[in-house]
Amino acid sequence: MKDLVILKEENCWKRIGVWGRETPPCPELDRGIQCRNCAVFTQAGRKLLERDLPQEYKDEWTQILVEKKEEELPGTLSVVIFRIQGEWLALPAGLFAEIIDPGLIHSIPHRKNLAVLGVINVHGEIQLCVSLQRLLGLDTETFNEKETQQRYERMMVLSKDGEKWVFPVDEIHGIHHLRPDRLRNVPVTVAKAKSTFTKGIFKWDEKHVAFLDHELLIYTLARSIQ
Amino acid sequence: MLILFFYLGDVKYSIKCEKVREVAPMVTLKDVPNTPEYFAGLFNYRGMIVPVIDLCQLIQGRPCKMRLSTRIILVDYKKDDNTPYVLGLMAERVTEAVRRPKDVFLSPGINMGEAPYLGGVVMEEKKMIQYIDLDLLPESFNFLPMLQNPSDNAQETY
Repeated sequence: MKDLVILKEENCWKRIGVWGRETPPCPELDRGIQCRNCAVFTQAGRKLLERDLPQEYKDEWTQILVEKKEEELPGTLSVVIFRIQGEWLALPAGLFAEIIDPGLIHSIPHRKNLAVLGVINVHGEIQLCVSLQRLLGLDTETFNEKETQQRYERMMVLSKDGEKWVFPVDEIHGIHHLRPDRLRNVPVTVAKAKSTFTKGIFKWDEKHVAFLDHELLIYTLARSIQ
Repeated sequence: MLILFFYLGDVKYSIKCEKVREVAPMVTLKDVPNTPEYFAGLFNYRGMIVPVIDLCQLIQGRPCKMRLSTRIILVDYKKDDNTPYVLGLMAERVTEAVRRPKDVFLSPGINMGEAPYLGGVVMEEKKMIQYIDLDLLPESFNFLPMLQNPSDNAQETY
């Protein structure tokens, strides 16, 4: 390998490539199968780093290294933060199978449970679509739609014990690392129904986010549709 | 055992990764006047003031070229009184770390005199690559009071 002479403008992986039909074929291909396993390719990649150091790069890293590394405390939770109307809520990220664009909900006739919106087709499988808003009893009237200019409707597909549940939400923020000491208890004076599903509240970006008790949530759901 | 390879000019060197805390990109260093040439400067590393040694300057007598691959190897050290400190070592083409068995480290059995830290070699594809002994390295820097023996300082106060 070390005998390979690397020319200044060598780009044999572009000229010959893996599918090259020329005879004799590149001897390195026998050894490495793919160009990216070859020393020539590696060397060319390394050469990219042999460029002059831009001042902005230096400045940027000087700034980054000044900051203390935030150590992850044991028990740090990954949660997905999402919004239903004016309420920001969170559920453990491990529960999420995927986030999908809103699809067509087929309503089921004679349903007793108002929280169940109907069924929805997710990758060819039929899943139950449930309104978290109704399940948690979030007030629809007090929320002023003008407060948020845009709607980013999505559907969350949650998976628990092999069962999937689909919940339409108004916005998904994304994954947030929640330190356990940031989680506060729900004030006892809160008399809303959703507080029973709330494990705790944490502050995120000047907003209060309710961390939901997913065990209880899914359990209640499963019970109610039986 | 993980070994970090780097270059000083065209010569390849290696260090053991055991004590390496982080390999950081090149940053803006604060110059300190009246220090040896190989002392590149100080920088703020996560709230600590870390002195950076230019290995090129130390070993070859010319400064490191400022390239994207020129990096600062941050090494954990302990003073004699067990207080930890970090030292930055600037080198060129710090792009490769490899796993090798312990027996690739060989000692040629010569006394390096001026540079005791350059004693051993690593055998890599039948070529010899000198390795820098991180334990012996700080002994060569006598300009940093924080690296000096605490007993030396004690003598001065008497």
